Amino acid sequence: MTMRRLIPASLLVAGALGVLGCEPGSEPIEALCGPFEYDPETQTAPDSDDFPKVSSLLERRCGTLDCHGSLARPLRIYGAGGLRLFTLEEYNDAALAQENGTVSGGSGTTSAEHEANRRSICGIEPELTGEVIRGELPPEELMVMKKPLLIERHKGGALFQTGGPGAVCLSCWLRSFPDDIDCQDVVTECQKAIRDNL
Amino acid sequence: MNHPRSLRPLIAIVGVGLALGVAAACTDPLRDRQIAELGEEQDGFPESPIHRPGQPCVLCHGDYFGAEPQMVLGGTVFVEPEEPGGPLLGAPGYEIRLLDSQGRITSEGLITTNECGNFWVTEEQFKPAYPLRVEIYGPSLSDPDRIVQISAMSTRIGRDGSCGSCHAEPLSPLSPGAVVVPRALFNADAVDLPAPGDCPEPRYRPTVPESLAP
Repeated sequence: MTMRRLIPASLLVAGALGVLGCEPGSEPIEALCGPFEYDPETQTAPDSDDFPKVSSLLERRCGTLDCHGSLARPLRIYGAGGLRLFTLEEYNDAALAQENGTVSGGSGTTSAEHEANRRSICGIEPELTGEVIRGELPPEELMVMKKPLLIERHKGGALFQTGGPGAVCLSCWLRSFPDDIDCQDVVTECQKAIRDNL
Repeated sequence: MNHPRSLRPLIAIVGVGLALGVAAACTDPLRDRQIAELGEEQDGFPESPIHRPGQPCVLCHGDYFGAEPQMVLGGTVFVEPEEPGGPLLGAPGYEIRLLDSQGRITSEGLITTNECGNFWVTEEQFKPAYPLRVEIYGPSLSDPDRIVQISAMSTRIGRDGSCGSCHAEPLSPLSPGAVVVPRALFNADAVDLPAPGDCPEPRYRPTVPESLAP
């Protein structure tokens, strides 16, 4: 085949692959993580009511400005002590951000930041997260568990211990109190993890 | 080895290409840009222990760029200005203590800020296991001979030994501001602040690359 024929043919194949790549098994994130406002009827996402406590743990362990509290890194985590969910006006005007408390170390984590964090967790592996939520997969199969447990390489090192309060807090929330995980309730487990620094 | 004469130019081109490729593969364009963004040394302040207060030390003094001394952690402590937005002066003589995730604590007096507030620790002195907790110690208000905890970082350091990577001015959604000794805990009688002009002007790295700006 000459180059003149090869280039259009390659483009055609690449285009077809691109279109196909959007189809099989790639459910939109909305379908798995739920709409922005959690709808308990659909049960497609881990509960958002308990998430602020989970978020507190993630903000402390994962969301420092040099780790996941960075605009440049996946699994972006917002929080009072780290990166803030800011408006364009606040970005361009530090005084306005200071006035609004939207500064690192400023006012408490907002509900919008909690929701953004919940969607970060849910959206990093939406299909697998869906399987975990439905009880088809153990939480430890998710990257958000593998990395802090150091089952998978993690630049930030081991942040949770297997079976420790941090891992239980996150698993407990992801699976909504599964039988195989010893958790009383999400808030208690997460509070324990934050208190004990484990 | 003898090659046919007609192949020699091709071999030369491939050789040069390979050499260039290997050279390019050894650089990190992101870090190169971050280093370039720090700018030149300030007039009158060549490379020295007091240079570049406020900037991320490990970016150059780490294993990538290799500037000596090689640091695992470094930064600058300032005294909180009297008025918000006022000039930041380095805080000399303050001690930094680190607690790493294996429970190791830096020995007393190991890391102390110099005359312009800069401090650092080398791998030989302390090789930390991240995440780290950081505390600042200094003279108490009531008794200058008594060294007390002045402040503790409310979050941990997760991976970056450069304080200046996160702590930049002004306080913003992307930065908690410079590392400061709170004015309310600053014992002016016990600390000799640098005179104006004795230290370089503090400078900071851009907290967000232009390409990521919203």
